[in-house]
Amino acid sequence: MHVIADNWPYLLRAAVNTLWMAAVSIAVSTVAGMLFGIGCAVGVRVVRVVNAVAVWIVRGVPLLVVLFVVYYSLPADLSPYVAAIVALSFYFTFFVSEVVRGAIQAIPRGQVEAAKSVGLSFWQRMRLVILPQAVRAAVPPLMNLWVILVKGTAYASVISAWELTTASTEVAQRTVAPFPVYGFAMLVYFFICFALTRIGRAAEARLRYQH
Amino acid sequence: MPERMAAGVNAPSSPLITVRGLRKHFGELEVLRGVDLDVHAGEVIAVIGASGSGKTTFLRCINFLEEYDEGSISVGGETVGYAFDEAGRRRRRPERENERLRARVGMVFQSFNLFPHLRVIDNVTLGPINVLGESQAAAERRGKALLEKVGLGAKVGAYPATLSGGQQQRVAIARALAMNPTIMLFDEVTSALDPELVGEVLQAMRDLADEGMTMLVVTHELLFAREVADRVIFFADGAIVEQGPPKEVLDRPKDERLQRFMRRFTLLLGRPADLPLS
Repeated sequence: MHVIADNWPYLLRAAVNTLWMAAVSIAVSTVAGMLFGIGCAVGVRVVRVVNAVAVWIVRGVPLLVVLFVVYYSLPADLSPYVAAIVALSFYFTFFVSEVVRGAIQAIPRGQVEAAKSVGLSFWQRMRLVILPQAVRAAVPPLMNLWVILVKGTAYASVISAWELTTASTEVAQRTVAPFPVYGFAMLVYFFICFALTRIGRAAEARLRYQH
Repeated sequence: MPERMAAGVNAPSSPLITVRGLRKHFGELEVLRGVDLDVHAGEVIAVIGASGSGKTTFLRCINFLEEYDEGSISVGGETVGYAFDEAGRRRRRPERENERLRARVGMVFQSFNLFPHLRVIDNVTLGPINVLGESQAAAERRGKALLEKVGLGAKVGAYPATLSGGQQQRVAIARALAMNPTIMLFDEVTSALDPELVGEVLQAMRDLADEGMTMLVVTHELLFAREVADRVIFFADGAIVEQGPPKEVLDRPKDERLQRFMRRFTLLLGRPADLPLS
């Protein structure tokens, strides 16, 4: 256990990097995914085509391969850390867009018709009637994606972005004590995801309207 | 309702709604095959007919929830959905014009379609605030008065899911009325309700009729049609095949399809003439 006692500040600093990587990727992919999802549901042709191709890619290609492509093949010379954020953001944007598109399209036609019948314009219908309901439906599946994304940051270790898994591997190799070190990393990941699901639950409860 | 007749039906004014040669297809299926109708201000018209006869589609065309292929509809002198040039060619109106039209035409749906994420009062004030530009305070004051009128003054702060079907439908009526519509469309508004809840909704509609509201009511409630409507129109195969005062149409049907339709209802309900309304 002295391995952990000696190295936990180092590991936690790496965990902060993991958190940043996840937070930025979650923010980017959620915002971009919502825009793509809304664009698709609304029927903007360009958005639909781009979304369809991108969804087809992210469904069929492993995250790790996307990460390699971004890091090794893009003309831009990205640092491992930035490359990981770009890859994660791209990858999850199109899972988010599908969730959002589905949530919007699942809203009964009658809601749109009722909104039309009181004279609301297209954007008013979207802002006042459709999106408030779609967001509520989307929170649980989005929560799933965010948790998967947090764990996906571990792939960044393969291109040596300095984050929790990379740091754990360094420490494990130096101390030749993989079990406690990776065990500690495991707990940290678990804690992050656990906290995230609690936040999601709280959000769901706040958004609930059928008392 | 003699005073209503005097105000509307017999008045020589031009009709509030004019429908001419209305046709509509869903793919191969021709659901409306040339519908003509005039509705005068203050008139209450019951639209009856078997499922699939086109009556709901007809109603939905009037506020352009449904596009139509041929013919014309005008409400208050303005054509609905399309503008026509001298040669009779039509072009679709800009969305904004159709939205303005819809704001003047109230609609109540079979499945209520209240906004589940908004409280009852916010359901009612959504249109007035965002479309009519009323202040929140003014809209709420009027909204509360309308909810009182339909007997739901106590439910202002409730969410739709906590209300019974009959209550939800009455909120939907108040929501439509809050836009100060010139005409109200009712699309089988009691069909989704438990039998014991039908009466309260019909009562709200009858009150409205008594106030002189112009109403087009697609319904299976023949007793309501008989008591409240000025005119009954019977749809079959996408056209109006018979119309007239309720007593005439419901008691002495001429068209063979209407006779068959009435026989089915008489079997279900006993002789409608003998039954009280609610």
